Amino acid sequence: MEKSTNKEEVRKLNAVLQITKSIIATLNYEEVLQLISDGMSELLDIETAAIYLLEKDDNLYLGATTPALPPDFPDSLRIAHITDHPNILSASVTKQAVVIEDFKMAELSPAERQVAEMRNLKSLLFLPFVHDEMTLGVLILGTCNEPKVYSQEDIDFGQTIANQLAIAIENTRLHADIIHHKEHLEQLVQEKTEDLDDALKELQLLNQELQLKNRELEKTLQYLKETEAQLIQSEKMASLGVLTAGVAHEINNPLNYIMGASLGLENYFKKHKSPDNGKLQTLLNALRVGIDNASKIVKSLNQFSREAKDDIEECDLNLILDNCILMLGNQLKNHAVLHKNYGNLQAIVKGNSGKIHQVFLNIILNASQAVEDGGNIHLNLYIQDNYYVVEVSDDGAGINKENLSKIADPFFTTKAPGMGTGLGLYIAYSIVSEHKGKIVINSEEGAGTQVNVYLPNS
Amino acid sequence: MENREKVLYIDDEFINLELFEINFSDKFEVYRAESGIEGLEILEKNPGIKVVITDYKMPGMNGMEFIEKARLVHPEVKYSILTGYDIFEEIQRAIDMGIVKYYFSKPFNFEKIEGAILEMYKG
Repeated sequence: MEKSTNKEEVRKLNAVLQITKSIIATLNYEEVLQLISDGMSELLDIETAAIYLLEKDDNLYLGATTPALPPDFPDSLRIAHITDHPNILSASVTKQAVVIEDFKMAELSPAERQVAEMRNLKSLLFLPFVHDEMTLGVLILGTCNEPKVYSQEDIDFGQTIANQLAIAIENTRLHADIIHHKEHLEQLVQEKTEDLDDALKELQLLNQELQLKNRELEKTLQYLKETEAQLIQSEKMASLGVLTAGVAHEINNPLNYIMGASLGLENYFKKHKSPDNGKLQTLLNALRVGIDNASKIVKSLNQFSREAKDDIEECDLNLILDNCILMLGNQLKNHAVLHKNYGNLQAIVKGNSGKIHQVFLNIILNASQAVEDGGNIHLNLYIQDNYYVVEVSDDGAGINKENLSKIADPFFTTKAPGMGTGLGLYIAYSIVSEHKGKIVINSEEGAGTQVNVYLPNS
Repeated sequence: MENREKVLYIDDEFINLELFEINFSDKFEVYRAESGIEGLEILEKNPGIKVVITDYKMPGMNGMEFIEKARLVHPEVKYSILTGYDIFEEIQRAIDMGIVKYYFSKPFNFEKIEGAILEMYKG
C-alpha cells in the first residue's frame, strides 16, 4: 500500500512535470489548452476532459477537449452560453470545484444533459481556472461508463494544479494578445506607411505643379515688367515727340525771321555797296552758321522723338551718330574727349530712325556719365561679316560682373534715384533686337566699358 | 514786270510775310495773305497766280485745309507748304498724292524755294 501510494505520487509528479515542460515549450494558445486538457485528464486518471473559456457577454468557448476535437470542428459549435450550463456558472462564480458523482442523480440543464448523454458521461468534476481572483475558464473532467467517487484530496489537488495552469493560460492569452496587437500594429504601420507614401507622392506632384506655376508666374512677371517698360518708353517718347514738335516749330519760326533778315541784309548791302565788305561777310556768315547749328539741333531732336509708323526708313548711321553727339553737346563738352572714327563708311541700315537715335543716345550718354572729367570716349564704325558695328568705348568706371549680368533688365540702375530710370539699356537691347541686331558689352571695373552695337547691313 | 512769275505766300505772321516779300520780290511778283480765307480771295481776283506757298499752322484754317479748298476752285495752281514742323504723315501723303508739290522747312532755304517756283512754272 505504501509502495503503491509512492508510485502513484511519482506518476502524478511526472504528469505535472510533463504538463509544465510542454507548456513552457509553447506559446500557442490552442496548444496550451490542449496540453492542459490532456494532462489533467491523465493526471486525475479520468478519460474525458473539456476546457470552457469565459468570454465576453457570458459566452463560453470550448477551447480544447480530450480526446481532442478534429481541427476542422466548426467554431459555431464551440460556443455556448453560460446560463445554459449552471454547473459551469457555479464553478466560475464560487471559484470552487463542483462535483457530480453520478450524473443520473443530479439535476442538469437540458444543454448539460445533452452533452453528458452524447458522451455517455457518468460523473463530472468542474474545476475553475482562477488567476488573480478572476475565473478564466472551467475544466470539466468526466468519466464514461461508470460513476466515480472523488476524494477531497483529488479535488484539492486538481484545483491546485488548475490554478497553477491558470497562470499559463493567462500568459499565453496575453502573449496571443500581444501577437495580435503586434500584427495589428504592423498592419497599422504598413497602412500608415502606404498612406504616407501616397501622401508623399501627391505632395511631390503638387510640388512639381507648384514649381511649374512658379516658373509661369516668373515668366508673366518678367513679361509684365517688359511690357511696363515698353509702355513707359513709348509714352515717354510720345510726349517727348509732341513736346519736341511744338518746341521745334516755335524755334524754327524765329530762325526763319533771322534767316530772312540776314538774307535781306545781304542783298541790301550788295545793292548799296558797303564800305567794309570783309567785316560784313564775317557778320553775315556768323548769322548763317548760328541759324544752321540751331536748325540742325532742332532737326536731330525731331528725328530722335519722331513717331514713325513704318520701320523701313533708310537710316544713315553717320548722321544718326552725329545727331546724337549734337544732342549730347552740353553733356560732352568740357567733360569727355570724343574720338570719332567712322572709317569713311556710308552705313545705311533699314529701320526706324528715331529708335536707332534712342539706342546711340543712351549708349553715348552712359559712356559720358561713366568717365571722369577729361576721360575718353571712342566712337568707331566698321563692317564685320554682315553687320555694321558701332563701337562705343570709354575709359571710365566700368561695370562689375554682378551688375553686368543685370544691365539689360528693365528698371535696373545703379544711378541715384531720379538720375536714371533703368530703362535706357533695356530699351536699347529691345530696339536693336527688333532690328535683328545685337548688343555686346565688355567691361572691366576701373578700366572702362566697350559697347558694340551690331546692325545688319542689308 | 508783267511777265514775272506770280507767287502767293500765306502766313499768319507779319514778319514772315514781310521777309518773304523783301527777299523774293526781286525775282517774282509776290502776293501776300495773312490767312487761308484771304488767300482764297486773292486767288479769285488774280487768275495769273500759278504757285502758292502756305504756312501750315495758322488760326482758323490750316495750310492743308486751305489747299483742299483752293484746289477745288483752282486745280491748275501748284501748292507747296513752308513750315517750322518736321515733315509729318498728313503732308507726306498729300505730296505722294500730288496735292502738295513741295515741302519746305523753316528756316527757309532761298535757293531751294526759288528753284522750286521756277520748276513749278515750267511744269
